[in-house]
Amino acid sequence: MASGMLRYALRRMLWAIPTLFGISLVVFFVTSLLPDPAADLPKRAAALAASDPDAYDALEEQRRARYLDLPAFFNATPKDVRSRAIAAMHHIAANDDQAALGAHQLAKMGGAALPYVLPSLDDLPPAERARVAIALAPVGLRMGTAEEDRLSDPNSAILFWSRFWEDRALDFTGPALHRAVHRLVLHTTDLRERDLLEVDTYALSAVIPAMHETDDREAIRALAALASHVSGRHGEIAFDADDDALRRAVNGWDAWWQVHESDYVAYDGAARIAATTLQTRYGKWIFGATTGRLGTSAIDGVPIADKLRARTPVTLLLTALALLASYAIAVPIGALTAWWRGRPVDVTLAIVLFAMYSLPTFWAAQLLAHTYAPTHGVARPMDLRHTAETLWRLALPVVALMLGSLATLSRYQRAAVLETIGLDYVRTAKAKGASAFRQVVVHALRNAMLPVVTLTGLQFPALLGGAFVVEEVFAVPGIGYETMRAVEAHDAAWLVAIALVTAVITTIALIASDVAYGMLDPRVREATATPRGGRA
Amino acid sequence: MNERPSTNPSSRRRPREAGSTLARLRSHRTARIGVVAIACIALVGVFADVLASDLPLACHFHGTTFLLPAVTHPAALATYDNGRIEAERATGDWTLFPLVHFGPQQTSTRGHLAVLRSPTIFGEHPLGTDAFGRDVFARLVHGARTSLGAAFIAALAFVAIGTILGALAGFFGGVLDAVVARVIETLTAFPTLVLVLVVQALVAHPSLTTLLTAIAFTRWPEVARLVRAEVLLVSSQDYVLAARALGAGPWRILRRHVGPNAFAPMLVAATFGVASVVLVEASLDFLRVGLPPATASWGETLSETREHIGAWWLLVFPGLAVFVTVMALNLVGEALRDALDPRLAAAVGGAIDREPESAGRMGDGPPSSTAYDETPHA
Repeated sequence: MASGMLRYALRRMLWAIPTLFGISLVVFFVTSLLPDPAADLPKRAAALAASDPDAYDALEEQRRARYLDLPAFFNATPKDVRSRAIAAMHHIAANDDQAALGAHQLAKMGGAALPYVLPSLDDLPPAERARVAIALAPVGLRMGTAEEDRLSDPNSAILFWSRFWEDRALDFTGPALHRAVHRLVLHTTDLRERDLLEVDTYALSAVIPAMHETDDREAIRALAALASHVSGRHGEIAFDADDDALRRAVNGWDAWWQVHESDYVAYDGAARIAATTLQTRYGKWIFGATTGRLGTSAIDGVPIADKLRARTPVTLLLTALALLASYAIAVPIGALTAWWRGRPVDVTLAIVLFAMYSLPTFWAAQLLAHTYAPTHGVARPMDLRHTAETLWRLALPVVALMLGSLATLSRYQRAAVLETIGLDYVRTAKAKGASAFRQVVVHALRNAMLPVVTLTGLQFPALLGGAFVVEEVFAVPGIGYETMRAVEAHDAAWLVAIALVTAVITTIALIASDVAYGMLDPRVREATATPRGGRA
Repeated sequence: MNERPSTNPSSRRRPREAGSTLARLRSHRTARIGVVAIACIALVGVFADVLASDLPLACHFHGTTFLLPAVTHPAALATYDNGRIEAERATGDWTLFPLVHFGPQQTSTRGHLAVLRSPTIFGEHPLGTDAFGRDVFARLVHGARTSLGAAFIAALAFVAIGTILGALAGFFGGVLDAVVARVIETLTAFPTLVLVLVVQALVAHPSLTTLLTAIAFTRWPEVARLVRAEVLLVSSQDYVLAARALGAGPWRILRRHVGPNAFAPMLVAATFGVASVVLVEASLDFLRVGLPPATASWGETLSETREHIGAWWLLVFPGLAVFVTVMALNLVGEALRDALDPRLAAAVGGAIDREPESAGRMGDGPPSSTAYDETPHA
C-alpha cells in the first residue's frame, strides 16, 4: 500500500502545477495594477533623450525595472545588443530625429555594441561614418584608451576606431573574455583590470556570473567596481563591507543583469528562441520570482526575500498554533455536544459557538488587546528560539485568531459525529452492548474526524488572512504586520511578494491536508489513483 | 456518480423544489429573527439621512420650504447645518430635525472638547464622537448603508459570475470544466483578505469600485464550486437522462431541470457571501486600506480605537454593528441551507456539509477540500 500512497501523493502534487501556474498569472495580473510611471515614454523618448538624458535614464530605469518595455507574454522580435546597436547606428548615420537617442543608447551599450558597429563602419559614406565614430566617443573615454580631442575630431575618431577594431577584434570573443575574467578572479592586479576595462561593457556577460563563482572578497570587489565603471550603475562594494552587504551587492547586480542583459548580450540560435518567451514581462518576472529575486523593500532597501525569510516563520507559527489549538478543542467539543445532543449543554454551546462563528476576528482581537494588552505600538523583534517568551507573546493573538475556526470546526465535528452514529457499524456496536461513551469515542469519532481533517485546507487560508489583522492589532512582527508597514510606505515589491507567498503557502497546506486525508482514508487514494471511467 | 465510494448518504437525496424550501424557511424561527434583523439594518441604511443628518428633514427657512435638504443638497443651504439654521431662524420659520443633528462627515466644532466625547444617551451625541469630533451614531447609521450596500452589490456580482461559470462547467464538462476547475482552485489559494488588501494598496486610486471588484474576483469561485456540484448532481438524475433521451437540447435541460435546482445553493452562497463581504470590507477599513477614510464605515470607526484606547464607545458600538449583521446573515444562511436539506436539518440542526467526494470533486483532479460555506474569519 506504500507505493499506492506514494503514487497518490505524487499525483496530488502534479495537480498543483497548473494551480501554481494560475497563481503566478493572478499575481502577475496584480503587478500590472501598478500604474506605469511613464506610459508615454516610448513616444517622447527621442525628444527627452536629446534635451535631458538624465531624466530619460531615470524614467527608463523605472519602467525597465518592472519590465514595462517588454510585451506581456510573447516577444516575437526580442531585442538584443545586436539589433539595438544596429538600429542606433542607423539613426545616428541618418541623423534623423532619433539620432540623439541613438547616440545616448549606443554610449550606454558601449563595448558590447562594438562587434556589430565597427565592422560595418567602413561600409558607410564618410559623413555618416564620422557621425557614428563621434557618437562612440564616450565609450572610448570610458575605456581610457584615448583622449577626448582625438575622439571628438571626425577624422581622427574614424581612424582611431578602425585601428581599434583591427587591433582588438580578438579580445571581443567569448573565450578571450572568459580567460581575462578568470585571470582577474585568480589574482586582482591593475593590469588585469585594465585588460577588461578595454573591452568595456562587453565584459559584463562574464563579470556578473563570475561574482558567484568566487569566495574571494577582493575579487568580488574588483568585479563590482569594474561593472560599476562600465555600466554607470552604482554597485561598488565598500572596503569594510560585511558578508551581508557583500551578498546584497552581488544580488543587486544579479537583479540589474536580469533587467539589462539584452543590452549587452546577443541572442543566437536556441537563446533567440528562448528569448521570445523569456524576454517578456511575465517571463522575466516569474524567472526572478522563482529564483528568489523579489526586489528590494522601499522601506529600508533590504531584499524582499530576506525579509520574508525573517517574518514568515512568525506568521506560520501563529497560524499553525491557532489551527492546532482549534482542532484540539473542537474535536472534544464536537464529540461531547453530539453525545449530549438536545440537552441544555448542547443547546447553550450551540448558541455560543454560533456567536463565536460570526464574531469578526478583528473585533475579537481588538477587544482582547483592549482588555489584556492595552499597549499598541511598534512590534518588538521576536526570536523564535526563545520558546517560552514566544509562546507567551503569541498566546493572546492565538486566542483571538482561533475563535472563528474553533467554532466552525466544533460545529462540523458535532454534525459529523452525529452522522456517523447513525451508520450501521455503530448500530452494530450498540447492539453488541457497547456503552454510549464507547459508541461515540471509539467507533464514531474516528471516522467522523476524516471530513473535519479536510477542512484544514479551507481553514488555513482563512486563518492566514486573519493573522494579518491579528498581527497588526497585537504588533506581532510577522508578514501581516510588515504588510501594513508596506502599505503605509507604498512598498509595491513587498505587497506583490506577499500575494504570491500566501497563495503558495496555502497551496502547500492544501496538498498536505489532501495527502493526510489520503493517508487516513484508503478509499480516497484508491479512487484517485485508479484511472477514471466515463463521465456520469 | 463516480467510482469513489460515497461516505455521505446526502449524495443520494433527491433534488428539491424551491417552493417547499421557502415554506420550510418560513416556519424556521431563527431564520425569522435573522431576516427581521437584516431588514432592520437595511432600513437603517436606507433611512440613514432621517436618523442622522447635518440638515433638517424638512424646514421653512427664510421664506423657502425645503424638503429633505440633506438628500437634495439645495444651493441655498450649502453653508448651513442644523446648528446654524437653528441659530438664524426667523419668525415663521419651522424645522423638523432628524433624530441626531449631525451628519457622518460633520465635525462637532463647539470648543476643544468636541473630539472624543463619551456617549450621553439623551444628549446631542448619543453614542459619543470619534477622534475627529464626528458623531458616532451618525457614522454608524450611514456606515450601515455603506456596508450592506457594498456587500449586496459585491455579492450580486460574484454570485452571478460564479453561477454562470459553475453551471456551464458542470453541465458541459470537458475542457471548459477542467479550466474552470483549475481557476477555482487557483483563486481559492489566495486568502481573500490578503489579495483584496494587496490590490487595494496597489491600484492608483483605491475606491469602493476597486474594492468591490477585488472582492468579487476572489469570491466567485466559492459560488461556482457549489453550483457546479449541484449541476453535476442534477445532470446525473434519471429524469434528466429521460429528458435527454426524449430529445431535449442542452439549453432546455439547463433551463427547465438544472436551473431551478441550482438556484437553491446559489441563494445560500449569496447569503453567506454577503456576510463574508461585510466582514472583509470592515476588516480592510479597520486596517485602513479599504474605503477612503472620510467614508462612514464601521471598520473605520473601529480603527480609531487603536490610537484612542480609552474610547470604549469606538470599540463597542461599531463592533457590535458588524457582529450583529454578520450573525443575522449567518442565521438566514444556515436556515436556508437547512431548509434545502431537510434530512440534515432534522438530524443535526444545521452546520453539516455535504462531503467533498459526493459532489464537490473538481474535474479529474484530486479530492479538493470543499465546504458549503466558508465565512473568512477576517
